[in-house]
Amino acid sequence: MAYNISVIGNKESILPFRAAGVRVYECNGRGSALKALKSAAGDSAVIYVTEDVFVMIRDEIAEYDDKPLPAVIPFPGTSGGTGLGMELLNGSVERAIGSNILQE
Amino acid sequence: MARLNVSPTRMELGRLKKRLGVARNGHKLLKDKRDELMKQFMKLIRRNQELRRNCEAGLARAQNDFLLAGALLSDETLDAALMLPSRSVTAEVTFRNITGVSVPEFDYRITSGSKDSQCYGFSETNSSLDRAAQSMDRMLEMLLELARIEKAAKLLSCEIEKTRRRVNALEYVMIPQLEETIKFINMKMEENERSTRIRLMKVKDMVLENK
Repeated sequence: MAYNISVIGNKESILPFRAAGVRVYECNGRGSALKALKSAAGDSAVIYVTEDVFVMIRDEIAEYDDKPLPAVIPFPGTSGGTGLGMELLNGSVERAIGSNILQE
Repeated sequence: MARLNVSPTRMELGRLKKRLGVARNGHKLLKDKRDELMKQFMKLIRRNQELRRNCEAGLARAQNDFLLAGALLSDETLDAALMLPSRSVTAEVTFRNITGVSVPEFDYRITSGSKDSQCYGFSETNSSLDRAAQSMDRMLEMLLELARIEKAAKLLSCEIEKTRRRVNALEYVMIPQLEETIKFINMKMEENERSTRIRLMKVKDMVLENK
């Protein structure tokens, strides 16, 4: 079945995705981010979210963690990466194994 | 470990022994499942780490390209150029089964427009925008791969946690409890047997005395 690919973030960060033909949701606050997430989750397989927005609506995104679809993936916006992606990765490693084995 | 609250009868003993058998069997199976999930998870997680690094670097480059391209254009031109994408990308989803966890796999498909078509005319935009758009196209595949692996890792970690809890519950609660209860019933029944024998001996003595 065909699903959409969506991107949620501020104007500058989502610009490259617009050119690639991916559906984008521009948002500039918690309210609009939640609205975007809700409408994207209905028919998207993958939702890319900028890290600053991800932090804003973390609890709502966590609801999709154990569902097979959609996959909500954070990416660094134009303001630079905060290491959130790696942090989440470490979180799931810790959850599965009990201790973090990725830290060198 | 507290024993179960059951009456010490032969029937209960049979029932508990059966339950212990099932619990041991389940424990062994779940332990195997946990080990296999762990193996798959380790494979994914290394790849995930590497891919995320690459994706973040690639995206930062693409965003920079776009910002530079945008700096040479007016906001309106850039907006107008990207306002109506000439193509749309959708994801084809198939599910793969990793030891009982169904994990999605994504494949992207361009539904309208071709891979090389741009959504803007060349008259008002510059070549750095073209280059930036092209580099973004290449990123898309990598981003989907990242989504696939990250989702799989997340789903697997949830499942591993659940399985581990079950294994531990069986190993440290259920099985010891059943063993203890079985032992208790056995002892109780032996005790009953002994007391019956003693009673019989006593009765026999009394009968002999009265003769």
